[in-house]
Amino acid sequence: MNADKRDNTQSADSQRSALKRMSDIIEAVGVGVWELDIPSGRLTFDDTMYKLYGVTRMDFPDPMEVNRRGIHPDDRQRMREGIFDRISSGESTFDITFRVVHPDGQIRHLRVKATVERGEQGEPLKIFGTDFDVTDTVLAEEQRVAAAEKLAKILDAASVGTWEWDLRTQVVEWDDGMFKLFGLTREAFDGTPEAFARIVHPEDRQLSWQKLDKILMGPGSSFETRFRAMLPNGQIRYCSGTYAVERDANGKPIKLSGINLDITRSTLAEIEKAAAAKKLASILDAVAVGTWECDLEKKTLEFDDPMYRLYGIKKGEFADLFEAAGQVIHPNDLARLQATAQRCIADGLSNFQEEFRVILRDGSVRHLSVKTTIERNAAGVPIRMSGVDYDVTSLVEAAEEKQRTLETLELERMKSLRNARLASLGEMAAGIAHEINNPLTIIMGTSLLLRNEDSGVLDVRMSKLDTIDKATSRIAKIVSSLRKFSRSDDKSDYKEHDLADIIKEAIILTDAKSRRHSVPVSVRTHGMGKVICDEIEIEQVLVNLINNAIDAVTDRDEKWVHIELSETDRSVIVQIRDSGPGIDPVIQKKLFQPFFTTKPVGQGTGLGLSIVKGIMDEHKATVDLVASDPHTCFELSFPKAGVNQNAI
Amino acid sequence: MPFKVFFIDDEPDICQVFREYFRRLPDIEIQTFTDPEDALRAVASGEPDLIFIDYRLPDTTGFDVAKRINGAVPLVLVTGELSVKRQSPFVKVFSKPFDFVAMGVFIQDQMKDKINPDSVHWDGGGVFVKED
Repeated sequence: MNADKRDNTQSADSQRSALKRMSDIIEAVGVGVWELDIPSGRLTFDDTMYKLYGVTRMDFPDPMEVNRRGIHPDDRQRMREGIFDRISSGESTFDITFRVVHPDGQIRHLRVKATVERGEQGEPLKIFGTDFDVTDTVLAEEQRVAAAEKLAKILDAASVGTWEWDLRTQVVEWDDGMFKLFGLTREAFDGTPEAFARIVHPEDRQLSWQKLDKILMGPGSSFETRFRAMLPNGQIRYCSGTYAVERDANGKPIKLSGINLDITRSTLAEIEKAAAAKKLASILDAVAVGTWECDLEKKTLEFDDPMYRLYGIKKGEFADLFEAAGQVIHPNDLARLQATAQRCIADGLSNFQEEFRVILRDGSVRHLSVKTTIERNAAGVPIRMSGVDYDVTSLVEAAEEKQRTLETLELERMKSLRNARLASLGEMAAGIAHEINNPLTIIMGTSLLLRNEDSGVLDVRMSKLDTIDKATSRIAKIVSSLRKFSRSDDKSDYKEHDLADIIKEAIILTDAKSRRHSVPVSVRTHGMGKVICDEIEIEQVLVNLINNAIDAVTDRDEKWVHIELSETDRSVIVQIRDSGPGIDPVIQKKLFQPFFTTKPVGQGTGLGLSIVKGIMDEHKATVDLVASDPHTCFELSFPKAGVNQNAI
Repeated sequence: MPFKVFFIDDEPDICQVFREYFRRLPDIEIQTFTDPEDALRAVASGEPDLIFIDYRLPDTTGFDVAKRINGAVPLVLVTGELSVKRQSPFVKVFSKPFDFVAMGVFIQDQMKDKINPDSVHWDGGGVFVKED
C-alpha cells in the first residue's frame, strides 16, 4: 500500500493531535495487562492493572492479594467458576465482566478478556489477559433503562379495570376502568362473555380460553395471565390480568372476578431493555483484543486468532506476518511504530504503548492501540517482543465526536453572541433613530433658514452654522459608536484600553434609553482602569448591564444608575448599581444562565447576562452580583494591565 | 385673529427652527413648548387652531399628551421613531426629519379652513416654490 499522497503537513499535525488525544483516552480508559503462570501460580500485573483496582504496587506487591481483596464478593464465585470452566473445557479464550471494589469503597465494572496458552497435551500453561474499565458504559446503560422502566410503570399505573363474571347467569360486569382500558363505550359492550372475548387479540384468544378452562376445571382459585387487547381504533394494548374463581360448596365455579392492568408501556420498555442489553453486548464485543509474539532472533511473528480479526486477514493468508503488518498498517503509522520499537530496543526499555491505524480490505479504517513488552536474555540482548493489540476505534470516534460537539457548541456560542449583539442593536435602533432624526431636522430646517434673507446678518448666520455643527456632531457621535457593532468577524481583538473610555462609549449608546425613561446615569472614575481587553466586547458587556439597570428601575419612584470605576493593586473594578432593591435570592442563581429572563415576553432575549458572563470568562475577568449591596449592584473585575497576575 | 399654532418638542433647537421658519406665514402666531405641561396649561387658557406634538417626550409620549387635550383642535404627531403609526385623534403624522415644504403646505391648508382662503398668500419665502 502506497503512502496516501493527500496527506500533508497539516493533516500530519492533526493526526498527531488525534493520537495525543487517543493516548489520553487510553490512559483514562486504562487497559491493564496481566499474566498468570499456571504451574507456578505466579500472577503479574502491569501498572494499569493496579490503577484499575485502585491500589498501588507499593501497597500490594503481590497481585494475588490485589485480586483477593479487590474483586466484589458477589462476583468472586462467578469469576472463579467462569475461568475454571473455560480452562477445563479446553477453550482458549474467556471474557467476563465483573466488579472490583476500590479501597475507598468505589465500585468499578471491569471487563477481562484473556487467552489461555496450552502445552502439547493441551494442559494450560499461561493465561494472558487484559482488563479494562467499562463502568461508564454499564452505568449509563443501566441508568437509561432504569429511568425508562420507572416512567413506564408510573404511566401504566394509571389504567386499571376490574370485572365480575357470573358463571350462572353468564353476565359480565365491567367497572369504568375496564371501559377506559379497552376503549369501549357502555353501549358498545353487551355484557356477554363473547363480547369480552372479542377484545382479546385473535392470536392470544385461544390461549386465554384454554387457560380459563383449565382454571375452571381444576382445583385452583386464582391465576395470572397476559394478553394483547385489540381496541376499536385498531390499537394494540398489552394487558395483564389477575383472576380469581369463586366456587360453591360442591366446588363448582360460580363467579370469576378479575383485575386487568395496562402494561403496554412496561412491556415495550422490556422489549427495549432486551434490545439495549443486546446493544451493550455488541458495544463490548467491539472492543476486540488480540495478542502477538515476535521472536527477534528467528525473526518470526505469530498472531492469535483475535489478532487476525483485528487485521481483517485470514489465518494462512500470509506466509510472513511482517508482510501482512506492512500491508495492513496505515503507511503513515508504520514507520512511526518501527521507529518507536527500535528506539525502545536501543534504549534498553522493556515496554511501550502506541496507537496506530489499520486499513481493512473494505477500506474502513480502525484505530488500534498496542502495548508491547520487550524481553531480554541474561546478557540484556532483546530476544522476544510480545504485544496486546486492542481496538480503540469507538473511543477515538467518541473523542472526535466530542471534539465536533465542542466545536458545534463554540459555533453556537458565537452565533448567540452575534444574536445578542443584534438584539441589543435592535433595542437601541429605536433610540438611535430618534437621536439621528432630531438633529437631522435641525440641520435641514436651519439650512433652509440660512438661505433666507432674514439671516443676512453675520452674527445670525454664524449662530445658525453653530447649530448645524452641533447637530452634525451629535449624529457623527452616534454613528461612530454604531460602526463598532457592524464588525463582521467574530475574532476577539485584545489590546490595552482605558476602561474609563469604554464606559464613556457605552454611555453614548445607552443615553437615548436613559433619557427616554428619565433614568439618569452617572459615572465616577478613580483612575483610568487600564486593562487588556476586546474593546467592543467589553462595551457590549457594559451596554447590556446599563440597559438592564435602566429597565429594572423604569417603574420605580427613585430612578438612577450609577457606574463607579476603581482600581486595586491587581484589579480594575467596575460597579453598575441601580436604585433597585437587589435581586431575589431564588433568581440570583439563574441570572447567568442562557435564556433566563425576568422581562416580559418579547422584551428580553434572556441571552444578555449569559453572554456577559461568557465574554468576561474569556477575559479571565469576573461578573458577580454584589448580594450584600442594599441596591442592585453588578461588579465586573478585570485583571489590571501590566500587573503580573501570578506574582505575590 | 391670527392662526394660532402650538409646537411641542423637548428639543429647544427644533422648536427654534420651527418658529423661525414658519413665522413668515402671514397671520400666524406660533408658540413652542419644550415642556408638555406648559403646553397643556396654555391650551386650557386660550385654544389654539393647530397643535404639533412630538411623540417622544420626557416621561411621556405624544399619545398621552393628546389624550389630555379636549376640544376640536386638530392634532399633528411629529416623530423621529422608526415605527409610529398615525392613530386617533391625530389628523396627520410628520416623520423627522420632516419636509418643511410639505409641512408649510399642510399648515396653509388648515388655515384655509379657518380663515378666508383668499387672504392667505404663501410663496415659500423664496426658499421653495409650491408647484401649481
